Amino acid sequence: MGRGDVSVPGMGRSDATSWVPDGIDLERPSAARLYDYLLGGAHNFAHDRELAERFIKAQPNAREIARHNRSFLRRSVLFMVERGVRQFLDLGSGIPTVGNVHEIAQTADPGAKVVYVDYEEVAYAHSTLMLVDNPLATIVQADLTRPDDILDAPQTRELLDFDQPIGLLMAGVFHFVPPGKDPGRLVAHYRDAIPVGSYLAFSQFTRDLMPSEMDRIVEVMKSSRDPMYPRSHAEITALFAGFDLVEPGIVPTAKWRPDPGFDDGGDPDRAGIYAGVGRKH
Amino acid sequence: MSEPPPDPEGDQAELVAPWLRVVAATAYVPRSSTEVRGLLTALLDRLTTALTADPPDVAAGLRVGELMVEGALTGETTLEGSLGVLADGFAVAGYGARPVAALLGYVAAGYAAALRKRTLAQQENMKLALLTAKQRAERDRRATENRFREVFDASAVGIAITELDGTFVETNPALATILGRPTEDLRGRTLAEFIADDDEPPLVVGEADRRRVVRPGGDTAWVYLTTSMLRDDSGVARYRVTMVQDLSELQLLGNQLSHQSLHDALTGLPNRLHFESRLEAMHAQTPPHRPFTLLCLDLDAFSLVNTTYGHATGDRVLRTTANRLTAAVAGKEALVARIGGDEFAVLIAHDTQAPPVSTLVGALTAELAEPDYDAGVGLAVSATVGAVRCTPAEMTSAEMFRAADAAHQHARSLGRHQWAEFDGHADRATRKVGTLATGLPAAWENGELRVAYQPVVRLADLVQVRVRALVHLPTDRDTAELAESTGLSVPLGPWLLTQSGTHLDRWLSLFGPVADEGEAVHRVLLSALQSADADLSATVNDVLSATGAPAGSLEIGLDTRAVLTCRGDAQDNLRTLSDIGVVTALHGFTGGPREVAMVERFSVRTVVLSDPFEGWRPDWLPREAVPVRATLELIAALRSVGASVGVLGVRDHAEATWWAEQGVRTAEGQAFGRPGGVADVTGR
Ligand SMILES: C[S@@+](CC[C@H](N)C(=O)[O-])C[C@H]1O[C@@H](n2cnc3c(N)ncnc32)[C@H](O)[C@@H]1O
Repeated sequence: MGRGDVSVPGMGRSDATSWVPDGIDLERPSAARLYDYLLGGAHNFAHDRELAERFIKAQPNAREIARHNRSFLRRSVLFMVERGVRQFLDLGSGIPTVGNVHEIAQTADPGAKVVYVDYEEVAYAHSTLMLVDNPLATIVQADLTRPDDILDAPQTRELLDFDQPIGLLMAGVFHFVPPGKDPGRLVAHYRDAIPVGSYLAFSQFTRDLMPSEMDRIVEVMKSSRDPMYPRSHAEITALFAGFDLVEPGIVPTAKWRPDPGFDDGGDPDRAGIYAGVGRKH
Repeated sequence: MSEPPPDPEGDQAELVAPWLRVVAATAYVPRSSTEVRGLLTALLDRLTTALTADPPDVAAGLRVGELMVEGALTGETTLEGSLGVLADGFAVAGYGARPVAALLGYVAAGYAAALRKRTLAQQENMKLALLTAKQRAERDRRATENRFREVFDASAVGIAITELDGTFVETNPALATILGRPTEDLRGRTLAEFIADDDEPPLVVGEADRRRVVRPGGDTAWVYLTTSMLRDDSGVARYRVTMVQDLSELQLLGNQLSHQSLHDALTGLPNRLHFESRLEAMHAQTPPHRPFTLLCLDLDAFSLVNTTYGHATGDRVLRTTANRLTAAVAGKEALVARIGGDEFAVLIAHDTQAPPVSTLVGALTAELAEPDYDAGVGLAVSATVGAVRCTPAEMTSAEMFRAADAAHQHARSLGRHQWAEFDGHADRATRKVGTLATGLPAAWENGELRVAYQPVVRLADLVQVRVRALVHLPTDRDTAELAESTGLSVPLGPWLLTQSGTHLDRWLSLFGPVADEGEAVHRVLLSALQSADADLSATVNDVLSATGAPAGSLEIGLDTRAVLTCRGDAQDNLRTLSDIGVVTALHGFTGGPREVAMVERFSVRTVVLSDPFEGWRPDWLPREAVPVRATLELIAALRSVGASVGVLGVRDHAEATWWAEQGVRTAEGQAFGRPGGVADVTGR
């Protein structure tokens, strides 16, 4: 039996020598590994790097966009920590190369708790390895479009206290959620699970900024496991139903409370991604 | 040697700002600008110190390159940009071009080496992570495989995995047994070769089909065949799996026995044993914060239904109750079980939002209160309910069961048609809701009740020696009123005693000659509430003086539980009745050590066992079965303290003989006639 054949338990198979788990399809690049590459990480395979090069061709600003997004994530976490949030649910957490949420939050308060969620195998395997000795952070391998799998997961229930404010992070991930999955209901499902006073940090690709590059990106990503769906300012605003947006509202990532003299360089409108933070009321 | 006088302080401030801009524009550094500025200043320090040394310590650049990588200053063009800024800055500051070039060359080399090391480390790390994931998957797969193996090998159902053309790939031992051939003989052959009627249409995937298989001697056996496809990830069928179930009687019997050991024969619901293990399993599989509700309930006045309408009706009530409870939780993640004679348990696993317990209890009891019509009799039951609501994190499954039971006991102590919820905080059950409905039935008010008599025989010779008086409800009555009648109780006790007392002399003359010395001829079994009635002994005195019959002709059975739990005046009643010479009895006796001790303490004369085999025929049970052994020991214990033992619900003479052999003295039941009027008894 070769790869791809049905596996009848007990009937033996011949590919036991490979170290790549069966679930990982090296032929099909993933967004998690592409993003890792854009941020300078090495947790990727040849096909991911090929995709990344095509991505950069379609959007020459890709590295800067990734950087701005990651930087927004960091600032939004620090913002929430300042407002008393000590637990985070990071949906679509990616491959931890640098600046992971638990590092940011636990540097600010060593008692901060983080549940990472990603459905990608490398992201999951890597986070698992990284978090073995960290009792206050864990990862759930799940699809964020199935909220109950995540909210009811024993790891989530063990670590997070749903009576205390929770920082819900959806950074650079929602553009992978197709319109058919009822995005509004999806965000509302998570919102209903967390108490008043919790925060949502959200960022995703938009066509409002650099439309032709965006169209080319959508085309490129069709060949990956994670096709992309940009959303307009109005669509993103609607997803914040039940949350009060904090200043400055929904803006290009680089314009969201930038660190003066550091990540405010370049043309913010070339950030490609809208970002915002809201507080549940 | 560097000619111009370098000014490290001034150079620094001027250089850090443009370097920071380069870094910010090219690399993602997960730190604040202040922190990054600090890092750059420190690096610049090292560089200027190296340049101002004599001779310049250009190799120090190596370490600076490494520190850039450690500090995540590793964007695609960060190094390039940094070197440019530094070269310009040092030139302006007047350092010699050669040492600057050499120093920056070392920075680049240190950077490259560190970056390569980091990349290798990351890839190594990823490899390790994936390898671990792989091993875990491998382990899971092996565990699945082993489990599959076990099921495959141990299954009583024959299983064949075949190529699409039907050639066996793998067969399990059960299949070999069914086909009557060793596994080796099946290799390379097809299932079709063993099917007798090969002109039948081919098997449809997913549908069970009855076929005959041929065994070596030529004889055939009926089997059920079910086949399904094994597909690969892309959905292409690769193999076929066929289940072969032997339909021979032995096989069927085996299946049935295992079903019976887990299910209650009467209602088809899981029994107590099964329920406990299912509860445990559901408890273990449910996320720790998902709420459960466990309800334990029993039917009020069920013994009244049984004694009034007979066991067949009682059984029907139990089946109806089972169906209604099942229907009431349909569509929920729930489990209904019969955990005792008239006791049921309902377990509901809720979504995150659970309705209030009172709502659940209200819905269930309303469902049960709906009258059930059969042969003109409408019967409605009320239930007493104990409830517990908790999450798996809060209680173990055993604690949940105990808590529900405790709440149930508590509800019962409040009277019928009550419910109580286990109060975890006070660690005791507290009553949450009051009486839903009780009332004196119209039948009683309209004087429509009659006394009926049920024969009681002496098992030694099957001679009728006594009657039991019971309340007979007319069957042609409005069902709503009849529903009420299950709530009828306390006043029925004196009524029954007084009414039946008028026939006491009749029974004395009828049974006096055949009954043994000191034996009663007239039996009345009282319910729990009736047993606790403070006026009981006065009523009995009145009856005796009205008839002039000796007290010893009357046998009065009190409810065991009422006496045991010191309910009302139950214990006083037992003592007083015994004192005035009435033959005292206890019914609903389950045989606990405290119950047996009570028999001795109150010199109880008769003990009527409460269906120890829960409706099963004792004469069909194996002698070594634990309930049988326990019952025999109980009978011996009771006889040793001078009590005679009676049983109810004996179905036929075979069963009667069995009880007689165990030393039981009296029996009632359909074997000896159903309840009837005075004429029915005397004419028999
Ligand atoms: C671009 S990365 C973002 C990482 C991180 N949140 C950040 O902003 O820096 C997106 C991640 O989301 C994951 N992802 C995409 N769709 C997902 C889904 N439906 N459920 C879970 N993870 C998903 C991808 O595997 C990838 O790792």
